[in-house]
Amino acid sequence: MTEKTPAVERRKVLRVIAGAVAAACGATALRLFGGSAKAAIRPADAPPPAIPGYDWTKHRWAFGVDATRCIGCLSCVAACKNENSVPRDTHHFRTWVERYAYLNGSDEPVVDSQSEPDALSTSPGNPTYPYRFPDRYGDQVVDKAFFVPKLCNHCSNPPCVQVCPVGATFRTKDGVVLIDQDYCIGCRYCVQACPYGARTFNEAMGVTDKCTWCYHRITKGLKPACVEVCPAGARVFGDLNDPQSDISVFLRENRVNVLKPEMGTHPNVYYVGIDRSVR
Amino acid sequence: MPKHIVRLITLLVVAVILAIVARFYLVPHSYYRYGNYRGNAVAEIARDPPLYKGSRSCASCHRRIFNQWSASAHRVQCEDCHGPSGDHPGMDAPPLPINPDTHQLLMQERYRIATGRMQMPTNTAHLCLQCHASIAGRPATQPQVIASVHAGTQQCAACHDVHSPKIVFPAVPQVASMGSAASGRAASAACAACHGATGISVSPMWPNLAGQQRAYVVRALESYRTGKRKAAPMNMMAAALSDTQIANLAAYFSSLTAGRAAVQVQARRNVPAGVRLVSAKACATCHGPNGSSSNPVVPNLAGQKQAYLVSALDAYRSGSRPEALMSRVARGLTDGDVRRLSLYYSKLQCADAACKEAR
Repeated sequence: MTEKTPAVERRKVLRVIAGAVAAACGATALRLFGGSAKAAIRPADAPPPAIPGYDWTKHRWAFGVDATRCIGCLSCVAACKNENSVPRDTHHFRTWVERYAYLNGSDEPVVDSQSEPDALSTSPGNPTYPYRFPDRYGDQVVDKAFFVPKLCNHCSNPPCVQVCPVGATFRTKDGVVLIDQDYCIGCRYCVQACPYGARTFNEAMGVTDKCTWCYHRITKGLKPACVEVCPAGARVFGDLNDPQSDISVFLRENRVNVLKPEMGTHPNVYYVGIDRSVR
Repeated sequence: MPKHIVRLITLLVVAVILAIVARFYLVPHSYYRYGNYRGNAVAEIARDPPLYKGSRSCASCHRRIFNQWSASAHRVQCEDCHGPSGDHPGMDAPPLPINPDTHQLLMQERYRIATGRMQMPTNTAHLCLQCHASIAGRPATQPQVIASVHAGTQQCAACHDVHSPKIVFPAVPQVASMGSAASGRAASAACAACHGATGISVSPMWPNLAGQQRAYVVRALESYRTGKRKAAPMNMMAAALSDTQIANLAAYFSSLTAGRAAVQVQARRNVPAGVRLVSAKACATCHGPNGSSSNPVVPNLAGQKQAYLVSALDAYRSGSRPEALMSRVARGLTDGDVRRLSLYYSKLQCADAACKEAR
């Protein structure tokens, strides 16, 4: 008796499980091949993302940097960190400024960038301006020196998007390369793939972070925070679809360059006044 | 078909169906909507509230300051110094009061209720120097100072209005060590041998001192005394001077006006190449449009001896006269530029009243 009863019950249990699975399969099949599900998975006729008052098919964003105007005040860096909650240390930046200095008749510049901690002196007591460039070439002859603001180039052909194994980074229809931080698994392939060093890994959150051109601002009709606060007019942002936008005027009136054009990434950040040494 | 093969195929089919079902539930429904990513992520990223509102948003309440700022040449934005506005003035703040008697009280209450408080910077020098410290890389068109020379330990706000920093100089408070012109006159006998009894020098190689900027004379004598600036006779002369004597001499020479007559006898001569250079090299930013500086630490150049100007620019170029900003400017000059600039300034007359006043 005690040996027989479990055998019957096990069969019953298995049957119930099989039935449930079959029912789930049936339901899934209905949804998979039913009308609404079909539309949802077909990219061509999908409705644009639910952003109030904004249609991403109507915009094509681009960024301009006039390096001849940059005064190296790092307002942009501070504003970016505040706006986007970027860790306040000298290792995590969505945008940063480099200083190229040709010293003592040398052909090769010394580059002060965020990758060299000495290049930025920090004043933690000052929440508004945590960083500044020190005057570190006191005794040396500076033949030429200039600042170059840098940020993600939002490439039309982004290598970072190509390498992401889970589809957590992508390029939107309006031309912005974004990271889905809920979906990022923190493998850092994209950090390595970016030729411009524009991505950083946020150890605290375990995900990669990068410039979004302040997507939450530009979709509300504002400028990115770094452009908003720049006191020198060195940063320009706008919509290429609008011939009167700041960036369209900038591209018409200047002879522009992009960083590392030989990489075939087709960057959408255009530079004026950079040197051959700027990569 | 043998029974065991049928079972195998059935198992395979079941496994495939299960995989499809699992995938259906595990992959987010918006995943392939626009491409190989989660379509909903776009709207989620766009949903974040902006923190920086832009200077225009300040104008509705802070109209007076906003107008003052927008009329000035200062292009630094409100939030650069005051921090991001964020929730300021606070979503739950009451509407602006209209009763003038209760206005003050209500404003305080409103401020207290406001969730976002703006920063009122106290260390203005720290903020100003973020853009205006003279460091390598800053374009020449950006006004720059060496804080220790320009203001010592004083806060910028002591002289400048932070919202419209351009100074109307007569309003500047006089610093304590003004020196006495009368005592300076008595001490200036030794100077007169070279720089002339009226401050108009006897040799083209030596600078005129009549009407020179007081703070500049102080700085020059101090750097001769420390040996930072080198010229054998001047180092020797300055070594014997006390701070008070330097202040007195500077007061005396800056008060001299005899030089102006000598300057004005120079024939008016147009030096177009000089005019172009002055504008290209932004000399007027510091030395004034007429070669008459509006900053007490920057020397007047109008009517200065040409040979002296050439030697000064050469010294800046070679680095033997160390001064960061001028060295940077002078290194961009050719020999021809130096000649044309010095000729231009030496021929420049005090044409307008303001210039005459400054000399």
